[in-house]
Amino acid sequence: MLNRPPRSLPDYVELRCCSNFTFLRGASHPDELVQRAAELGYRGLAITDECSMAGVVRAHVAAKAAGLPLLLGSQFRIDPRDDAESSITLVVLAQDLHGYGNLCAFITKLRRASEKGTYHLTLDNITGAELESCVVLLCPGRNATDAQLAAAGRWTLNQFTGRCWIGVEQLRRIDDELWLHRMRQLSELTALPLVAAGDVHMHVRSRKPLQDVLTATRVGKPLTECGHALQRSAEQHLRTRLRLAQTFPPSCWRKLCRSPRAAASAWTNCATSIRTRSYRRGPPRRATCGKPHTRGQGAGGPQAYPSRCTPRSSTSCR
Amino acid sequence: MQGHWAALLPLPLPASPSPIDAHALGIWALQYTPRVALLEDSVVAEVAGSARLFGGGEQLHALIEAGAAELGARVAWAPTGTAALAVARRAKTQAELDGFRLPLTKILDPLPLDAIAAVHRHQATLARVGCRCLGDVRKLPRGGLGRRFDKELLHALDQAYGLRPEAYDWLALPEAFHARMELLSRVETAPALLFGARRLLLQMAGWLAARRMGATEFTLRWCHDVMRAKDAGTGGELTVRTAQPTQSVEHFARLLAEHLAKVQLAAPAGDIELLATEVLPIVEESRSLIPETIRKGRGTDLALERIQARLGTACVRRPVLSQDHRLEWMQSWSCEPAKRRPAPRYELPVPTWILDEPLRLVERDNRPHYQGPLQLLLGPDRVEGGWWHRSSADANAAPMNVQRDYWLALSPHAGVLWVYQQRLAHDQTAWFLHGHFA
Repeated sequence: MLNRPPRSLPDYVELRCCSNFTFLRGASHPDELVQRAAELGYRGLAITDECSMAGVVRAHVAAKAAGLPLLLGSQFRIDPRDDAESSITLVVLAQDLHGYGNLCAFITKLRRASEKGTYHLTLDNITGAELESCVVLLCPGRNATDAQLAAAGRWTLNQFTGRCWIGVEQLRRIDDELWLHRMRQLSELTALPLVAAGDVHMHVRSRKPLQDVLTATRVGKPLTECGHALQRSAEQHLRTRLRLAQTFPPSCWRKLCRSPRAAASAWTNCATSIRTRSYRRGPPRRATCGKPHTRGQGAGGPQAYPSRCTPRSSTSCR
Repeated sequence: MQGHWAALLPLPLPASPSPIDAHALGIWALQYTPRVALLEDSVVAEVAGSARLFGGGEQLHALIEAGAAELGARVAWAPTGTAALAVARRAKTQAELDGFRLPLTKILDPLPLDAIAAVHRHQATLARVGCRCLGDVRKLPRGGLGRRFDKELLHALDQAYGLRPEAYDWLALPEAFHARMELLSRVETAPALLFGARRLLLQMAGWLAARRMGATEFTLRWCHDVMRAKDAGTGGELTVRTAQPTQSVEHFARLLAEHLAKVQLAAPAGDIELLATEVLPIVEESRSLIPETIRKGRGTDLALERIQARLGTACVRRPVLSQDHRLEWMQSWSCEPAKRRPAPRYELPVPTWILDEPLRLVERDNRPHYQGPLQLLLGPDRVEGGWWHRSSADANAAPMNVQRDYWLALSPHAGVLWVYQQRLAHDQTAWFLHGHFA
């Protein structure tokens, strides 16, 4: 399986990637991630910091320079309410400007409801209607039971019908094949398609020591006592497409990558539209303070963002 | 709060072969409650506070009744001590011994005058005024009763009916145990002494339980009667030791029987006495539902400490589990007792046997061989880490960094193995064997 070369290198879009704006987790700058993804020939890259959009500005600048389609999104850890649920991660990607606004509003709501620097999210306070024009990736934890997986899959399907995938990561662990098998079963059960996702934390594997130090800082222990809190390997970096082709078995590669490929082509447009619309030169024509994310501002219409929400780098973008 | 009293009345001679005296009975009863007092010729004990300790009232009733029956005493229960004694004296059937079956007045009223000693003293006078039972006395005008008779009569009646608190001098537990018993008939052979000695052992067990001690040595003495031969001496004694402190009557009796079997009596014995010559504090068996494993664990720790003190600190090591992704650091041997709580178990399978030093495998046709070509079953499992780890504090010590791809491999002869591939210098890779699965 390892030494079998694929016939052609697959197109790949990394859909789950956190930058160092996910504090004490991500070990690479957004621009480093974008540049590396462009070097490796990725068809696109999604910057999905945890409950934050802080990294998208730098990523956008770099993506524009590198000519890489950039997807904007965020990931959320959903805490279990009882034993019937497990902790799952939901990656939310904006499809267009409207979705971007919804996602930002959702993050603001979460952040304001908790203490600074934290957020708390359960299945109670997230709905599909709230995140309109967004697509989601369901990324369950490996310690979930089958019943918990099925519950999470059904919930995602109900809330995000037609715009949800299951994100599968293969990180060179001994239970990778078992996990893939379980994910396929979940896919058959819920009719959610599988999609490859890397859960990337760094742009090159040599950032692993830095990532370990960040983990130790987050855990608040000496590095020698962190134990299993540290990542088992440095696989959570932007891997080469050859490695990805070897990592995901050829039989499921087509099925796995069909979605991102289609998504990439579809989302490239979205990303472009977001790019062209949101980072304009000059202040918005009509500031709607207090109602920052008004819906129904059609294409080419006046901007929905008030002046204080306009990204700082807007003038330097063009 | 309503009291819960037991009255233990030693059975007189025809009913009991060798009547026990009240003091010995009281010492035996001290194992159930510290509130034991001698009242006239019997023992009263207040047990409401201990019911929970012995598993509830019914359980305690059964325990005390069984023990008292073996010692030769009858037990009655009532809300007051005086009433319990009155019931014990006058109950005709087993059911009547329970003074809780009816309200106290209904139980006491029909009892004859001699049930309470203070009333019994005035029985002649009371009988002449027409009193046949305690109820009749109670109906008499209280003022006249107080003037005509002594105040003990009213006191005793009030105490019996629970109208006045009872005050007793509680029995104190003696420091040493010594009990003597006169045998009903002369005993010619040593094993026959056991029948009498068993009651003394019961008393001793009660005393030990009350003191929270266990006996490691006790002595049985016997005295020859006056009709002995001149060369027989005054008596003999037998000392029995136990391996560890215990309170078990069965254990004592078994040991004593084995020792007595070897003893030849020089003359018939008339009296026996028992002494607890060496007692030690005992760790009692808990009567709780959940076994106390913690205490046993502490025992292991104490033993290890003692061994460590004798052999040296470095000679005793204990395994310590630690959280690490690297197989060789998941467990270690340490001289210090574990201070932190053990690490949670790693959820993925790890080999049962680990080699101290990974064994480099030969490669043929780019395939690792160990007693034949290996078939790679599952993998890879990449482990990277330990860059912060040095073999010693030395500045140029070798780092313990690992970068390995682990595989589950099947060897035709050696079974399931845990092997890994590692990159070496000059862009070479090598295979190593690290462990066996059982």
